[in-house]
Amino acid sequence: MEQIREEKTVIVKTGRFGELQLKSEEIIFFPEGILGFVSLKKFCLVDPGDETLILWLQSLDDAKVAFPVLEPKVFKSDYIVKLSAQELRQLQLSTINQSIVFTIITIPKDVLQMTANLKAPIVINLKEQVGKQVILQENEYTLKHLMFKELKTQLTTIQSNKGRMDQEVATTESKQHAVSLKSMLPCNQIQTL
Amino acid sequence: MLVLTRKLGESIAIDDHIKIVVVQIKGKQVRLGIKAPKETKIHREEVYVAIQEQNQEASHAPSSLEDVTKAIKG
Repeated sequence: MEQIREEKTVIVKTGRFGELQLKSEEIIFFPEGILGFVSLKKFCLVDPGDETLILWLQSLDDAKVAFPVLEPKVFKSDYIVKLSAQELRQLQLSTINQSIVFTIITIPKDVLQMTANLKAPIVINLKEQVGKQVILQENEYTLKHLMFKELKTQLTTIQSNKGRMDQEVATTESKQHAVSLKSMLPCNQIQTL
Repeated sequence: MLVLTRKLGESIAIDDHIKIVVVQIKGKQVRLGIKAPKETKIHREEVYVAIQEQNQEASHAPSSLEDVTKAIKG
């Protein structure tokens, strides 16, 4: 059964990334959609291969819709997402250790003014491939958290580390691809309420 | 929708664990106190609208990814 599922691929047209060939392990189901986009239930994560750490949550129901997303650990290490029992149920999470969190990034014309939505992050159950945009209770988490400087610092660090391991650089080929959830590491910024 | 009339200091119970008290009435403003288990999520309705608008804005990122990449890495 598992093998049959793995071999199957679907081709999806997208506005930003052209045609994507998707395996089942790359598809994420959002039972309630995303706020303001409740009819869109199926998504995938696209790595455009530009090494900016920003991935794109691409709708498979509407080719035009894609949200830039970023793991908050990149720019805010003390960020914590607390999930209620109901949210855990909705995400089919029996253990929080199989989940990952992303913040939706708003990129204005002046890219340096980009912000992350800390108030309503996206949590994904990596095993069940289910996602949900949760709303956090904490008042200090805003919808427009400036974070360009932190992202830039992080990228510079990664770049200089790579320079030291130049052998690995040669083998890493950056190319646009859909991200397999199986290849993602669970994050430690999620807790239960 | 169920509509109930309450006076200052009176409350409403929802299920066994949620209690909403009218704490203050001042002109057109009503202050409500909410007692609920800590896992209950309570938000002003505007928060939902604001998040919807933010999502809309986020989905309209600059069309050229190249420009974004250049600005971030440049």
